[in-house]
Amino acid sequence: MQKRFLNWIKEKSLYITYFTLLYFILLTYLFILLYFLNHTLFFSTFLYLTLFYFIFLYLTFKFTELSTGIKRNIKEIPSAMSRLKAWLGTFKGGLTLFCMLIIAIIPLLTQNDYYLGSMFIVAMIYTIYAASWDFLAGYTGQVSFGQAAFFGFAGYVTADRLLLQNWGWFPSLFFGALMAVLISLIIGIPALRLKGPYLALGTMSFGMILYLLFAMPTILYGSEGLYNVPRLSNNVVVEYYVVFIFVIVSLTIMKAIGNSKLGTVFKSIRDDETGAEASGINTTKYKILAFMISAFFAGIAGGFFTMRNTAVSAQIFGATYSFYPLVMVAIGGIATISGAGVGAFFFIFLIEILRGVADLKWLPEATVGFLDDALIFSVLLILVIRFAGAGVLKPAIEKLKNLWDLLLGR
Amino acid sequence: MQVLIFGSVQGAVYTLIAVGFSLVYGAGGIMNLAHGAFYLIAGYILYWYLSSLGLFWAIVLALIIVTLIGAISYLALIKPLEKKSHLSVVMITFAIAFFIEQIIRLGCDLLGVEKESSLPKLIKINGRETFTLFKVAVPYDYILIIILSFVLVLIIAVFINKSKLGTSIRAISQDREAAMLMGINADRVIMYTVMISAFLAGVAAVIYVPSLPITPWQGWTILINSFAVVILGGMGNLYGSVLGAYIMSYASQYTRVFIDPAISTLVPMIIIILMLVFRPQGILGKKEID
Repeated sequence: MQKRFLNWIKEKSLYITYFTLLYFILLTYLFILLYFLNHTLFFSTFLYLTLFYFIFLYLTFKFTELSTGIKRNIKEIPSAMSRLKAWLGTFKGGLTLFCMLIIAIIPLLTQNDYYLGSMFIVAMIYTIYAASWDFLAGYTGQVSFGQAAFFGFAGYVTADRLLLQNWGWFPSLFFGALMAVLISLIIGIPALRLKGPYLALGTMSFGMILYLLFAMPTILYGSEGLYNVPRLSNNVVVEYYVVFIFVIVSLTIMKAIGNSKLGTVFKSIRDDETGAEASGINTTKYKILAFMISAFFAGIAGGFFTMRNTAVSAQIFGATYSFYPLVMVAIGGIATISGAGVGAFFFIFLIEILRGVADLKWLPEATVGFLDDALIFSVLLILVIRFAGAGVLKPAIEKLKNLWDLLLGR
Repeated sequence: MQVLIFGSVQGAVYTLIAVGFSLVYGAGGIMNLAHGAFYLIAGYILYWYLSSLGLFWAIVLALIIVTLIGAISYLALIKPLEKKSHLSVVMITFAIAFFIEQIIRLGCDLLGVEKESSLPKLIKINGRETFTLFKVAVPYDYILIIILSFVLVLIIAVFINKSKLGTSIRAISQDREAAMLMGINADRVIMYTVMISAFLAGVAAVIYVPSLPITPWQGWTILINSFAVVILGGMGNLYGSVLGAYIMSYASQYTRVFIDPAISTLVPMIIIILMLVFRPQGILGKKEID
């Protein structure tokens, strides 16, 4: 028993170590930033982050094993640090760090509410959302056209908690995400009996059900939805960093799951479901698990989105919001969680550029309609799927890497 | 009585739509998410050109364009992806559907017309649009819809069973590779199937739009409803689709009249869920789906 337990710890300790490291890095970062901004939100954020960490630890190592886990973690830190250093030295790690740094220093360059709030924060929220879709479709191979169901449902729950129950933002967000997980169970258990295209349509019909239910005038907050939802914080910079931290944590968790044993199981289901079943994997169980994980992150994105927009209505369940993550992931490349981020930022910038072009006076009146973002994105999606199945990001990064090697003379 | 009349009409329309949907799935294994969009195209072309071209030519134009769009979208977009993976086919039909919806919104803006259509009824006898049957005002259109749908489905059934193209469609749906070895040009046959399916959706739109105004958003509802019909009747099964269409329509009309109009829109989804949980292969379906 003792031996088995120790082996088990050995297996998991690497991830625990990574998370502990990440936690402390983020905490230091948050501390430095918020100390200088002198904001009271710091203490609650600190509390919530710690809570989040312990919930994670609890889930991984049940409660009695907690102390052993922590002791073990502290021992592992130096080796994990050296591994992290080595990873940052490689091309991919360096690029990731570079992108993260750029995003991190943007609020120091501009404090403009529009740029920070409407562009970067929304882009980061969409990053989580698109990554959650990518996790489901890319790793597990289950294409869902009803991702807006999780996104919107969590949005509604968060708004309800914040507005009507006066909860704090973090419990509301977390509660919303948990409710999204619940909805994913309700959707997943019947829908995951289906495969491929059936699943796509099945999930879509669930999204439609939620749309119709929430659009009803008498029940579920009426057809107008909820509005005057409080923002996460009145200070846009604080909101920016909170969302930023959540993006990093969510993407890291999804990536870590993708690289873990669980991820291997997911990928085996994607590549050959019959084969996976034949080798003794309960595919339904794992598919539902993937659905739940995906719904959780989509829920977090939905909660942030509602707080950002200060309103939520039944429109959030529409086909448009199920369509967005598809576009972003198609641009960024499927089965690369980071691709979702690139796709989301590209998406937001393109909308902004289109708006800018449409505002120019020298265009003839009739062509302005063609600059509608949904139209452009559907064309883009058709083109990307038709001509570049692997997405745009992956080939681009490989080209860049070749160029890099050439420059260094390797 | 109301339930029976309105249910029959709705059933007739969904028969046309779902037969096309199920035909394409049966022959090519393509889940065409743009099927609702085909309905939209035909409906909106009729709506846009009704005043300038007159009823007959507007209908002809709508049907020709929708059939052509079916052929083009198969040849240019779906066919090259078919060998790659099923997922990209589903995703591209989704993108096509979205694209068509946006084009229609744009078209309405450019032409400066309302997005929600309002058309006069197709048939008027003695200047009246409706007649009274068992105390219910019934438009003459409804008779046309039911007869036309019945005739078309009959033609399709005969066509599938007797004609040469129909035989090749059946051959391909059973075993594509074997059919190709026998000298059937599978791509062309599937293209014809997609065209027939788009044509049927177009006919459904043209006859039903005067009775039920369309909005750009409606494509998704149509798609989900036809999915419910098809899953109720069994995927790729022609008679199942007919049966499913009528069952679903009577159920949804019954709910509309006796329970609540708002809940009647949920009936197709509830049917989908129940069927998925208890009998995923449909009432008349084969034993396995994959």
